[in-house]
Amino acid sequence: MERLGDLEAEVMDQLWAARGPVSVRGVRDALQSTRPLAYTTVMTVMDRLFHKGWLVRDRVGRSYQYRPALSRGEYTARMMRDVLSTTDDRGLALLHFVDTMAPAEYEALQEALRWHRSRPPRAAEPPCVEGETS
Amino acid sequence: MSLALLAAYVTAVGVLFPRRLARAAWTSHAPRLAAGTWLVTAVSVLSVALLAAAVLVTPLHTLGDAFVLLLQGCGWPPQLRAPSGPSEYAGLAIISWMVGSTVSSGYVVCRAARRERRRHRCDLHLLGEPAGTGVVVLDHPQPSVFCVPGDGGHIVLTRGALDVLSPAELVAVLAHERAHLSGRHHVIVLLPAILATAFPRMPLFTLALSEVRRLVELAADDKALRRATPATLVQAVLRLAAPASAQHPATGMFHATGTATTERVLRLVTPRPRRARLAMLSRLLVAVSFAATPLAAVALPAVTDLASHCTEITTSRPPAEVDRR
Repeated sequence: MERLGDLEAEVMDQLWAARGPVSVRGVRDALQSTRPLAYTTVMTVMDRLFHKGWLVRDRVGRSYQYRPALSRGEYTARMMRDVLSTTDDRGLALLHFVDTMAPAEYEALQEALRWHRSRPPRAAEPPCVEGETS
Repeated sequence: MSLALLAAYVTAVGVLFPRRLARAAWTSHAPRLAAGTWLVTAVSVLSVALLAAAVLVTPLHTLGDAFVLLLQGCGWPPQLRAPSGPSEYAGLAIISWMVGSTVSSGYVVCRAARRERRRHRCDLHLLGEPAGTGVVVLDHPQPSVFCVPGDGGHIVLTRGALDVLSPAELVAVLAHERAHLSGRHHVIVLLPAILATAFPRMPLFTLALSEVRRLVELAADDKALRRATPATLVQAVLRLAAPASAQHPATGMFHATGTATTERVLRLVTPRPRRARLAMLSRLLVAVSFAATPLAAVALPAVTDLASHCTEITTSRPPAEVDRR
């Protein structure tokens, strides 16, 4: 039994690659080349993607024609905006390697690093160190 | 008397000590010990505050007796009875307020984080390209690296990050993120986050949240240094922290973490001070004493008259057994 989640990714790949709206049968036929899939399985997956908002569909005759709600690039941009935007919960859901710095701060940091590199390695004290307070 | 002492402890450790600890320079050199001290202090103050409220209901030694009796299985202590009088009601109200807000913000904070992570995982599943175990690449020009804990944990690299990082820098960055995941840093941050949400006016809790967040980054850097040189890690930080250019305009906003990043980088290039063992040991003792205070506050008065009380109540038991416990 295949996990539906993996199939979701494959179906989205198919729809993003397709030029226009595709029916369930079209997606199934495209995926059929790699392995046999039941029509109802593909239909269930696409229905789920529709309800999650990833796909939109139009009724054509007795069946639906599906297309992606947003392009892959638009989705990625939306996710990155989400990931990088400031919220109070930052650091709880995700852990960032480092946040983007403001230009002035970045300049100051590079300046400090240049100063560090120019010094002989034995001069021990950093520029602004606080005394041990506890 | 005991109420005044407990209240003084809450004020000193909840208001004065955190300001001092947040300024202390040693925390950057021993991030794990420092984070542990913050967590222990937060738990200690919370429990002592609860104790102080409990003292309004019943004297401390009674409380201690009840605690010890319950531990010993002597049965439900007879001292606990229905409240009578305004101070007892006040104590019960404070206790239920504290427990209630801690539990409810715990629920809210955990649920929000879990939901957000689930959404990111779902997005990643459909948008990301798997690249190695637990690593996903997102096709986006802005250089960025982050990890999504939970469900095994995923490290996410953008195409932009892959473009700017050299292979050695990539190793350093991945080691840093793996340290977050294996160290369960998202769980460590959760406790101060819950307490800061429940009691936003308490300086200890709000400072603990920002400090623990800073300290887990330093701890992850320390772990990354096992697989990379400081110079490489610094270079990686600089590449990923670079302000947005015309090439990849900012998707997010600037964060108020610039100073923290500057300190983080300078710490990597500054030679480490030699570890003064005695100083570290004394700091460890401070943390342990914070942990021990609430327990001692309950246990000490109880222990003093434990023998008489418990033998009085449990006359059926042989005294030897009681002594052994």
